[in-house]
Amino acid sequence: MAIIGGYLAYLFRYQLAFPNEPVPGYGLVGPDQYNSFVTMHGTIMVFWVAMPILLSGFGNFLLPLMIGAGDMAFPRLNMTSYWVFFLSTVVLLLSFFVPGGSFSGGWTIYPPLSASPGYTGVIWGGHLWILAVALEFTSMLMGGINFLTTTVAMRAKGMGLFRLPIFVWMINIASILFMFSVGPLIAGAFMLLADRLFDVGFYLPASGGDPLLFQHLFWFFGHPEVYVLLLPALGIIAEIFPVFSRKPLFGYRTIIYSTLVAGLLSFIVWAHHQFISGIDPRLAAPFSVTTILISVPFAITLFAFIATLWRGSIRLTTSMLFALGMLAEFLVGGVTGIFNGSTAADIYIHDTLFVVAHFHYTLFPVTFIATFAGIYYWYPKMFGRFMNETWGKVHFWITIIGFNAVFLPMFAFGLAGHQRRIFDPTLFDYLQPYQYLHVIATVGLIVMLAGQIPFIINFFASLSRGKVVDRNPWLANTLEWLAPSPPGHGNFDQEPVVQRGPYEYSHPLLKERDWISQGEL
Amino acid sequence: MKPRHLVGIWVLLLVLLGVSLLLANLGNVLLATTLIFGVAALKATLVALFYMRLKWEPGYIFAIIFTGLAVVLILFFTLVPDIIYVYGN
Ligand code: HEM
Ligand SMILES: [Cu+2]
Repeated sequence: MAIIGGYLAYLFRYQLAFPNEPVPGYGLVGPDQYNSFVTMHGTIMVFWVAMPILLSGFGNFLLPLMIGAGDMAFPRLNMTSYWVFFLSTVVLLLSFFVPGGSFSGGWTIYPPLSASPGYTGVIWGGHLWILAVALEFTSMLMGGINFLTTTVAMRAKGMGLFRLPIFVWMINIASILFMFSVGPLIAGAFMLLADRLFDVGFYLPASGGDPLLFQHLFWFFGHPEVYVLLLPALGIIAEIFPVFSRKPLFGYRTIIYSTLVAGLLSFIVWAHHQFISGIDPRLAAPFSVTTILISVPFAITLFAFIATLWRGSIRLTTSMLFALGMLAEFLVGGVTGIFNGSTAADIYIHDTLFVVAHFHYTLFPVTFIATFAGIYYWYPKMFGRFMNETWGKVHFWITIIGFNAVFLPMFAFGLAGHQRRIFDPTLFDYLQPYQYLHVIATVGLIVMLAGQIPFIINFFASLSRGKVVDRNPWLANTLEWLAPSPPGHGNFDQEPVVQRGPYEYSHPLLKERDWISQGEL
Repeated sequence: MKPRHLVGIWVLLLVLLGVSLLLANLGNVLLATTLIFGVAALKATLVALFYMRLKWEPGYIFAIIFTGLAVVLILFFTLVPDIIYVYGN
């Protein structure tokens, strides 16, 4: 799915740089197709790439290992959740091939555009979109319940709540956020389906409905959802930093508490997506305040990470590079979020490429950079071999440089007044002087996509050629490194008993080495 | 919980249903609505406690339920000013 999402980005990115020229490897992209590609790109990247990789992928593999459990609490539920997810993917992909094409009203499926097939000409594509997302969420809910139960019930002896690795905390907080936010959206989406099929009129002004209601329901889910993606990514890099700086994670409990606070706050910020939708202006002020407030707990977390690195003996392995890259790029995303969060500034930059740049500076590090960090780091555990470090570094630099080339220009472009979701920017005279920025971004994207080839080759070649490693090649503390690589059925040879916290590096009492495993006496 | 008791709860639910039907005939609409919703909440609680066996579950189940309710209330009450704004007084 990541490849499809990236391919779609390539198609419409090319169209933006060279309007109305056939895209190499595809052909001409028409306006309708453009809208549909943008919509599906957003949908796929958020719901079919970020969520399944970060939560389900890393969560299912790591969570039981890290808490010293043999398996997830409900293995069958896990299988069900996997197949429901598979079904949702089929439904979503089918929507590309039905008459009228896939949905094209933006990934937020705002009514009235989405409430009546008449507006976009998309009939089945829209129904299938709603169905696919509902299935996907059902699958994620099953997964979330499984994570929570597993963490509550299956921890190894001695694994108290404050000895859990940060990653485990993050997965659980993310699952809770998802659980409490997803209800309104599923309900809202089915109301939308009812509007589309039977013209019930929940959202259609012509039938007495209110499109704003949908925006509230969508973003009540949508904002916490951003943290559902972010938290596992922060968890991944929180595992990597202590290992490669040989220092305890700074402020372990503080990170947990501030994440909980951020989680709670995430339920009262959603209307910052609606500053210019015509909501009550008296609502805008409190939402502006809570939005800016929420940056405090995240700032605390990021500072804790930086303090972890401070004066550590840092080893720049590929996974460490990616983890640092994630931190740096995410910082840019976070800081520019403050601009969007203040109503006055947002009125100007809303729906421009500035916003597109902002959320890609948050979502791309979360979705891809953190994932790469995690893959390079845990690959030895998954397959018992190292990935090639030199090619890993090549992959890192191409990805980072490419990524910034794509999105850095968009900040400038957005401030210059470039609206998002525009098919042909050359139609606007005032944008002409900046058109070269689109060309830079597109070239950047092509470089970046090409940069993934070394990674893919490296990944598969290392399966048979990578250097064979023993259980704990990075000399890390957490329990997963006690299990054989790859972990067999039941994960551990013998049930681990936890003696201490997860980040005991550079302990003054340790003589010969600077680390001591969580499961060691 | 013996089946006999479960039947008893069922009868109680039927009685409460009758009560809410009678309440509908009350002259005061506001009072009637309030009371009917109150009875409905009572019925829902009975079902959750006895048929869904929540009465015998550990305490944190209630923490989960109440967190969910709190989140719904946040959504609901933050929408009120907006609805008033859109539809006037
Ligand atoms: C592979 C690199 C990527 C590129 C080159 C890219 C490019 C773009 C561009 C140019 C747009 C705006 C199109 C327009 O407004 O006309 C866009 C929209 C969007 N992208 Fe990406 N993107 C990438 C990765 C991602 C990732 C990783 C995510 C999320 C996890 C993501 C989520 C979105 C969303 C939600 C939208 C808004 C869609 C809409 O307006 O309906 N993208 N992308
Ligand atoms: Cu938000």
